[in-house]
Amino acid sequence: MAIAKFFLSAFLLALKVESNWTRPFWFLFYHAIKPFSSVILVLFMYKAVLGFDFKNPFFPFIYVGTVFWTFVQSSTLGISWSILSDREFYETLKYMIILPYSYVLNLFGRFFAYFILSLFSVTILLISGKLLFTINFSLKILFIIYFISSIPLFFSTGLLFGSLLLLYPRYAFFLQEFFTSALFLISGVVFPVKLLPFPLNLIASYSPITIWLDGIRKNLGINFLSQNTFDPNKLLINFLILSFLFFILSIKIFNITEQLARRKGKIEETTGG
Amino acid sequence: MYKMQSRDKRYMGIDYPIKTVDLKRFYGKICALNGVSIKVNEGEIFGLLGPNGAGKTTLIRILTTLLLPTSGKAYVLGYDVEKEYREIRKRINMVSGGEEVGYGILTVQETLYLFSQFYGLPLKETRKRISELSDLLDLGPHLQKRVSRLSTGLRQRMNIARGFINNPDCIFLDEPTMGLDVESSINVRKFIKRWVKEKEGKTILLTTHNMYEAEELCDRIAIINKGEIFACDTPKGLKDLVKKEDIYEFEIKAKEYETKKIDDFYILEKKRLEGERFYIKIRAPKNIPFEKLIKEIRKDNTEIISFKKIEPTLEEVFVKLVGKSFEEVERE
Amino acid sequence: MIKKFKESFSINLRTLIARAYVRIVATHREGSWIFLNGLTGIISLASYVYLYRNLGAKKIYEGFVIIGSFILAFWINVLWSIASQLYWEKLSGNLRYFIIAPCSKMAILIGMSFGGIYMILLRSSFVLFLAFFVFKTPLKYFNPLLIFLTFFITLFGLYGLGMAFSSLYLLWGREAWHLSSLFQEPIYAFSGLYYPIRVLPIFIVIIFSLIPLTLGLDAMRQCFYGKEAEGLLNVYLELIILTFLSIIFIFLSYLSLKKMEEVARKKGTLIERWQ
Repeated sequence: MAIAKFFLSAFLLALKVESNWTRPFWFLFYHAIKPFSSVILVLFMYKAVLGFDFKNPFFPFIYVGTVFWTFVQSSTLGISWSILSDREFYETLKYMIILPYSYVLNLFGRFFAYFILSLFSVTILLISGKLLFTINFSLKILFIIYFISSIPLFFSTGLLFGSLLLLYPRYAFFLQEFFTSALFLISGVVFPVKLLPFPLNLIASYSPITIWLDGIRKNLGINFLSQNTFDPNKLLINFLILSFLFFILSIKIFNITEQLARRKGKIEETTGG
Repeated sequence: MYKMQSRDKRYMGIDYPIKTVDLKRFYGKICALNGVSIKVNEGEIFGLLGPNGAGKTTLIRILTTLLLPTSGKAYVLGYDVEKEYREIRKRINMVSGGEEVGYGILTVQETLYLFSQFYGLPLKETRKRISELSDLLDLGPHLQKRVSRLSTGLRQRMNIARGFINNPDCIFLDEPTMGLDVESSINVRKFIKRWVKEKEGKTILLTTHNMYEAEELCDRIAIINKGEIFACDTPKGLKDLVKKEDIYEFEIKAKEYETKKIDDFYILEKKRLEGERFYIKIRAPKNIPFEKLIKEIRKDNTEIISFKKIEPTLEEVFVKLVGKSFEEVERE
Repeated sequence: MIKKFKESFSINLRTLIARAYVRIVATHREGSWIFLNGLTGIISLASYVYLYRNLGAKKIYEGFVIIGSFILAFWINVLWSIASQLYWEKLSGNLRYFIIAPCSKMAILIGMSFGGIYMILLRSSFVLFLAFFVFKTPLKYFNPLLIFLTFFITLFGLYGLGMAFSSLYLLWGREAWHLSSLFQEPIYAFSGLYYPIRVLPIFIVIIFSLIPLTLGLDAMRQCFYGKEAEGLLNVYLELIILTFLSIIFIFLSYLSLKKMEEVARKKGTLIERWQ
């Protein structure tokens, strides 16, 4: 019960921190509109080359890829942002760390807030894709499993980013940019990963986010996939086991880095402008 | 670099480097300053003593041109804080305690250089001032250290050096020793005293809620609470407000000591100590001859081991004037 | 009068130099950072290069992505370091000391801009040359003088806008990171960052041309690829508009700084942490 309360308070904290700058209506409006910009950028790049030919199978591929990428990005960055703001802006990291419950649980609560907010944006973007660009989505049952698996997958990814931020506060912004760019490149978001040079294409084919994105695409009825080496649905069990192991591993790594950060005196370190 | 005003001008007829007249400041409906009038003399360390939320920082913010008064007048070095704030800024500086200033990635020397340039100091002069201030504040060995690697005490010393870098005519110190350890606080206080003594025509306005600091540093102190000045005098003058009687503590050697009224004196407290010793606390009328007191104590051939005259504290002055202690006011 | 002007000029020049200098010093102190940051630049633009490759776009479109990324780095710096700077200074407790100093706050902002430009130029030039080399993107047309002129006028406009934003951020009283992210992505989308601006509907082009990024990028693309860049207007005309915009932004930043200080002094908040 106490753990549930702690989780809930972390969840509400993240919501408050995110939304305190405006009224709830504008906040939701902002979250509904903001993700459109990344879709629009790709949309106009597409239009510059192929015009308004939205029937091309490549269009739903990049549309769904970009939409779900906003999901990956905002949920995973939610964790690193929480660590960063705790340390730099609110200077509360030390107090969070010494709480009787694990900081990982605190981060999980806050991650969940970002996850729900992104879910809201993703839903609006998918409805817009259907209405504005007549993308035919046919929802399959495995979509739900892929969708649920995104929770441990994104949390683990975010936690790994977070581990680095704990140890290297000065490079926080750079590290965030580096890892999101690298992940964007190897996750087959806007192009098939086979286009990448060796060995990046190999790494990309086995990246859990690439497999997850393809699983989402396939179970939304889109047949153009990022990697054609294997069918994501046939590998679902393996993927789930791997995601679970990745989840456990990321928590272990985070706990080790938290120890290291304490040893190196990084918990209270702020970059000071 | 700006040249300072000639002293002959006597602050353009204002006569005091700092003067406020019926100064009021409201934040919405909350009154932070309620008709504050003070006059600070040149060469003086003037203290504002009051609990948290008394209005000290608001007054400093008005005088340092960060905030406008709601009504009333304030002059710094003869200039009106509302209209002539640009002139004031050339000649003043400020240090706030308990806060981090500068950029973690820069060294102490680079930070001081940066802030000196905001006042247009030529490089040669900047180097001289940095060296002078780092000597006085014992920052020399730390000049090349990054700010992010400094301890709290060193950071505050750097902050103080930053405040004095432009050799201001008037400096405002807002709780300058807040958060410092005892040794650092002593060093900072020494520096402040030395600076105002050695440099001619300088004025310091200091806020504190540390009684000891106020007493040790300030030539005059204004006691402030809820935006009002209750009294303004030298530390001794303030204490005299509550000092109608003297209090003495004695340690005496005697087999027995009876609690009794001895003429004009009154024994407030008596305690038996180890061996044949007693502790007694006596209240005596103000300025009574000391010999008379000794004579009274030794009436029964009592041997005096030690004695001490207890001075009233500024806390007692505050309680007398405000009717509550600092803690009680802050709790409200 | 002349003496006062000389005095004021000297103090502001010293402020400008010092503010730029410490930023440059800090940049060099993080030497390895520039290399890694450059690498990040290449990685982030690579995805869009592959997107064009997959779409079968003309090779120069990859060049658009590279040029877009080059200028984008400055825009990010404008948003997160110049527009947000006074907010960061407020958080770190420096802002009140900036305000009570006799120097012009414009001099501080201009100094920060120079320092920022230097830092980003180091990183972006590295990315620009490496990207052209790695992706074997052709250069069709090359007029160094015009490129430099376009580049600097674009920066003039971008940093002018950032300076105007810096006090507006404080006046709006919102956390800087919300405001910067609010501006960041929509502007990515509609400024023709990686594609010719002509692709957009004309009313959007007109609105987004108010942000120097749009015309600056269009002019830069034309400098590199001439007519094939499918430019919006003649480069020289774009430069005139950009110069005009820059002057307006600089003036606006002067006014907004003045307003910010006025409001700060009246309200007593704005420049204090947590308020």
